[in-house]
Amino acid sequence: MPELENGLWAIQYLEPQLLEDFRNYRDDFMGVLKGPNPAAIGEDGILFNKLINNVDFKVNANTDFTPVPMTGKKGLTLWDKLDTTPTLCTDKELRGMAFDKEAAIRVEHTNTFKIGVRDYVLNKLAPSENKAGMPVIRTTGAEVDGRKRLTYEDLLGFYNRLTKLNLNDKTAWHMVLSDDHRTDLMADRASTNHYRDVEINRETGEVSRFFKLRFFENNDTPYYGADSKLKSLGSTPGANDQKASIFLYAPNTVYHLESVKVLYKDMMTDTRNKDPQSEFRLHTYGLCDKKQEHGFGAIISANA
Amino acid sequence: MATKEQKAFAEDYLAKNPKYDVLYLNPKGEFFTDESYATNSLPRTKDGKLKGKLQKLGRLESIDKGDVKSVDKEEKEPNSDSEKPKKEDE
Repeated sequence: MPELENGLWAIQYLEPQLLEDFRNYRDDFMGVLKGPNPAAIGEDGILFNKLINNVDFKVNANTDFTPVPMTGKKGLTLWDKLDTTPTLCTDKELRGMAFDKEAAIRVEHTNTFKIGVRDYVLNKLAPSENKAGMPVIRTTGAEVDGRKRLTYEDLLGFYNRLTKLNLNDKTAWHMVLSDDHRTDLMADRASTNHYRDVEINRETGEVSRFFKLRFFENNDTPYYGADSKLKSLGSTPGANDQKASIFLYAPNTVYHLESVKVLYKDMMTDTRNKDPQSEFRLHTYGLCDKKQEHGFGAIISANA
Repeated sequence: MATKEQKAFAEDYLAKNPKYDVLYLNPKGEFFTDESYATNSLPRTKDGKLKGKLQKLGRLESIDKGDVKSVDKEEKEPNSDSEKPKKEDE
């Protein structure tokens, strides 16, 4: 195949094939995120209340009781604006085109929106750093491509820290596995005959489970710096930054999108340009966050 | 003010990625090719104001001249009064 050149073929009697765009469209983990109670959605965002349990328990009480009020804390998750950048399409471009370019542009916007929201959501749910309720660990395995592999022992250690968090819904433990860590688990599974509770789906070849942890594979996961702190969304990865696998406890997540507005400027209304042009963009408000900073975690490859 | 290492990183990155003319540097030391993402990375006060400044690092010539531009950001939250989303059922 010769190198591709800029431009598109516009040949009347042939139909140049539209080539596939190889991007990571996976966002299957988003199906487990929790939507908010519609009654809690306001103009500023979503409101949360939490009671602070100060109820004590006594055995053979030998003094009179004094009732105390139960206080609470409140939280607010703010809206974010989510947009695709506008694309213009001229009448001249569409003439003689074998495929419906305007329709194809719409599909690409939908794809980009999906990828953008996926990355936004993962970055919001990733723990900012290691803290109580949100364990962040580094891998300790053999060195490969400037990082250390994830070992079975690392995963067990991480799992042990999760079990101490009292995450009651055992069916809601999910982990978005980075591409490197997926390979590490496969390598580990292949290199031993010892017992391994890492389930690899025989039909699809996907790493799907580790005890109570349900895995979702994804090639795009957030980066962490050498100080094990989360890098901001959209930042340029540095030499010592590594991708992480992200653990999330679904009941502590909140994710909501308003209806996506399809912003379209029809070329039929463009009376000025010599080549009338249409414009297309997607726009909405949405939000995603941790309801509480508890029940999230990350496994980061250590730098070799 | 960007450190020597940060300027060197920007210079190297821009040389390797000619489609970008500038990099934005936030107070945490993170680089961005897109100003919107860089602004989004700045922390906010309780009333929605952005805290901190972005620095704009250009190509070699401007870095050599010490021409490191600072970009002050004093924007309101996207959900400020003028930009509140309308719910679909309203």
